[in-house]
Amino acid sequence: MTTPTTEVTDHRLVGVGAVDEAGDRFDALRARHRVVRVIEPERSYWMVLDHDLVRECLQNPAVFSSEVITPLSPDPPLSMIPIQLDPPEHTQWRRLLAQYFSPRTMGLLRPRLEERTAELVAAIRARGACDYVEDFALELPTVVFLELMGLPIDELPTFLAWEKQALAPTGEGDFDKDRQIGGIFSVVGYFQAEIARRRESGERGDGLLGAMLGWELDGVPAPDDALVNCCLLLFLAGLDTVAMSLSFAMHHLATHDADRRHVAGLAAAGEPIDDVVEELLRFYAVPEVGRKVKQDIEVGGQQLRAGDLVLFPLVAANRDEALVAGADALDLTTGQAAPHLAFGAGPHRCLGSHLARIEMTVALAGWHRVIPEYALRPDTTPRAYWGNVHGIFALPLAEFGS
Amino acid sequence: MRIVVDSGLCSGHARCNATAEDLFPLDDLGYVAVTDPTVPAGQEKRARDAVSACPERALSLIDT
Repeated sequence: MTTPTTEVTDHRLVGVGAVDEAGDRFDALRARHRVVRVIEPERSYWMVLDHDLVRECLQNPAVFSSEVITPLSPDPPLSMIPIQLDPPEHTQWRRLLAQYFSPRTMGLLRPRLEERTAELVAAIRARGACDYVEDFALELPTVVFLELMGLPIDELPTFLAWEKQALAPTGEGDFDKDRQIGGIFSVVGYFQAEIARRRESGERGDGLLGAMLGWELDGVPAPDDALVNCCLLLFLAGLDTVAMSLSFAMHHLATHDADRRHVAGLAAAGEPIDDVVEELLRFYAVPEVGRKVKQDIEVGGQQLRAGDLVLFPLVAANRDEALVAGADALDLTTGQAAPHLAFGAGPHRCLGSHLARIEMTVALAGWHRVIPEYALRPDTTPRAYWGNVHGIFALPLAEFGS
Repeated sequence: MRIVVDSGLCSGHARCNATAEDLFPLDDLGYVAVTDPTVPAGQEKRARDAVSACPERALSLIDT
């Protein structure tokens, strides 16, 4: 049975504000609605706030298509592989990619991640202060990306610059489309040239990129433009999501002494911090995932029509009491991680989730072993932005103790 | 006690494996590939914890 459509007009997908607001801004809405129609001046879409409904919709790609993955881009000029493909086309790509991102394969990267983390943290400790976003969070996943793809590490500064251009908002929190497209074209151009170079040399070369050059779809070699497209997606999806999840985690720990001491204690004792990472991922889930409705369907008492766009802010689902009692607060000491949806659900479950988990575990343990004491630099108030991914502009940390 | 996998729902979060690796082995792609669904005596709590760790609700247990 459907209920009359409830609309809100004061919610915005894109914005800036206090760091906590990025996640907190759904709390009051979720208390009133499981599903709500959001009317903005430039767009309208359904927003699903209920944990069970988010999971069920994301598990149903036949109705909730990935043809559109954000209401910010209702008519995407290009279909990104594999994130904007639906089964069965999606399934082929996903199978090709999955073994390179499996828990086992990702586990092999741990020693290199620990090494790079130790280098970065030692340099920051010596300086006595840092901008965590710039000096650590953006750099670590980008280094790993280059190594995983089989690209030279001296490309790091170039990739970091493109990443900022393609993904970060301006200081006012706006996303400058021309600037972003410029960054994206730079990445596309790089992969086009690198693939052409490898094809001409007759040697596929190292890493995932080398493997991709041998991929077949239905018995036919995957076209190079599809491979470039897939490389772009790996770049767009894997770098700032991890960087910003780390930044929200460190902002929390820098502003909550008991939690920071808890993590530092575990790190000092060499105890696993996996549950800590899960809880931080749950509570500060950064992605807001979109879908396009392919056929009329009722969700949570609301009638959705074919062609409608739907937004799933994962942090809203993760703070729903239906997931776990006390979900509206962060608790690092529960001892059992909640089965949260920070990596989504259904066939598009974040391909890089196992890498992201290891990156976060290594990064937080490595930091706290060396810098157990720290705080926000006095007289600074970090600001967050939100859109398809939540982020923090800068996170100045200091007061590292003796 | 026996493990039941809805392989149509498993999407490779691998949280079951992270909780009880021996009871929930993975295939090469990282999806659950339970070889022996029988939960050994004494392992029931680990099996329950692993089942409840699944974000997709793809796992269940039946008493035998």
